[in-house]
Amino acid sequence: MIFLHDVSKIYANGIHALKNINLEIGQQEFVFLVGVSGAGKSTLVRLLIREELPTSGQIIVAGHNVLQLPKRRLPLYRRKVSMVFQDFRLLPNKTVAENVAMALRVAHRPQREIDEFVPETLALVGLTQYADTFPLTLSGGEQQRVAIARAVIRNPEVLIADEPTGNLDPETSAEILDLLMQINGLGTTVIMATHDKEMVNRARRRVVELVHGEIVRDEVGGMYHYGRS
Amino acid sequence: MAALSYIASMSGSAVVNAWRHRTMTVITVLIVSLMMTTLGMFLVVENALSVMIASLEEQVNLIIYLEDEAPPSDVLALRQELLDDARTISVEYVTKEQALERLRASFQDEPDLLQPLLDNPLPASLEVRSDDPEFLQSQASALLGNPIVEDIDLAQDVVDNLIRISQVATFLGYALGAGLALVALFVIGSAIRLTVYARRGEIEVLRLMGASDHFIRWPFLLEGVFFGLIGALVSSILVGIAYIWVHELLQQLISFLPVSLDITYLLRLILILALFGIAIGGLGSYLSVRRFLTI
Repeated sequence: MIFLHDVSKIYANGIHALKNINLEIGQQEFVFLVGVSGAGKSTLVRLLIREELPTSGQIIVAGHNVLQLPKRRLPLYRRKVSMVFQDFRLLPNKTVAENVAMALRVAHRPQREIDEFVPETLALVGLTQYADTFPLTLSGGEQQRVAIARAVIRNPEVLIADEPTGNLDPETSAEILDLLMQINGLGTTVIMATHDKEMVNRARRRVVELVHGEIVRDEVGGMYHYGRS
Repeated sequence: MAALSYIASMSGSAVVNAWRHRTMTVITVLIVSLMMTTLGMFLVVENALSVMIASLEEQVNLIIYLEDEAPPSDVLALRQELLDDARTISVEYVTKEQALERLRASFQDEPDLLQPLLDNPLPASLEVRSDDPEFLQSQASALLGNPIVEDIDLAQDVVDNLIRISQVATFLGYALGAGLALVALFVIGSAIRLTVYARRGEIEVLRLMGASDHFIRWPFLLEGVFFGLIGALVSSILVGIAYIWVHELLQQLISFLPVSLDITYLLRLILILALFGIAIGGLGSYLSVRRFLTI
């Protein structure tokens, strides 16, 4: 599903964000990407959605060679790989339903699909009653649910969540994690970058730990800190 | 058909966007309207000035004094030749008798002065009117060698000055107009860039969701065109009122000439404003959005 071979990223300012990353993630896996701020988690995420290009190495996601994607094919690729952000990034001037529908609209899907899938997806994340409200009137946890609904409505092959619980209190974070695991259970590969120790220890899934741009640990069913609970 | 409904749905979303960003929309529409009204007002004043200059130029006559022995057929031929030129407004034939009548009329307070005249010493003449001083000048020099022409009278200083004034006015008109259009372009472009900049986050999210360039660009483009059209509408109304007002003023200033209200000019002005608005609104949005489509 996801295959990184010897990937390095050096920014223009000389910072060596990632060093020789080799990583393979299978279909329907749930992977935590952990590490302190600046360890390279966000860079890795940006490479996966082709927001940036690596300095060297190979990246293959869902059958696409990400480095060789021509610009006009980029939208098609991004429709297969959905993103959830720490700051939600909803469109403030569109209603909850419109925000979720936008994921289908950008893919030029017919209106009847929108009419069918938007209520279904809002029900999945438990926001049916907020369909016609604007995102900024919702709580952080609710906004993140909208973002997740927007990400999963297209049935993406991969869902990448970058610190999705970073702005949320522990209880809400746990709900968001449950939702992501539920989506994973429906068949989507989930990669969650986080430094939220509670989340990682709670889920007991595969953990990939980055330190100074290098993978120092790759453990199935792992904890946030190696060998400790 | 599919393309039409696509554009219709995009127009709908552009209007909804404009409404939900109404503060920004109002500011932008105000700026666009203001700049376009300024530009339109300038065009009206420029037009009024050129009408005034043209009316002054029409006051210039070329008087061709004819030899007494000139055969009438030659005189008629010369008259026709002058009339055939599009730049000629009229050619009036003044007989020797009419010339004397005019002279008597201008000396009617002192009729004794003209008493000693036994014979009529005044020549017949052709009075040529044109709104093109340069044309009259060239005719004057060409006709000097003509055997039926006794003399030529052209108010040389007046003509020279008018040519100069009209050239300067035309040049200033173009220069100021171009400068003003550039300023309007820059200000309107900046206003539109701001509205796009305020929504750069939105563009980025849409990009990461897999929206194609034109999916993102179309609503902005239509919104820009919409700004331009509103600006054109507002400025057309204001400039139209100003045009009618200036026209009345003009008629008082040059009462000796009937200056008719030029509806064609007004319509052309409105068309220019509308096209200017559409072009700059659309282009401004297109270029502004392009900057954020890099990721």
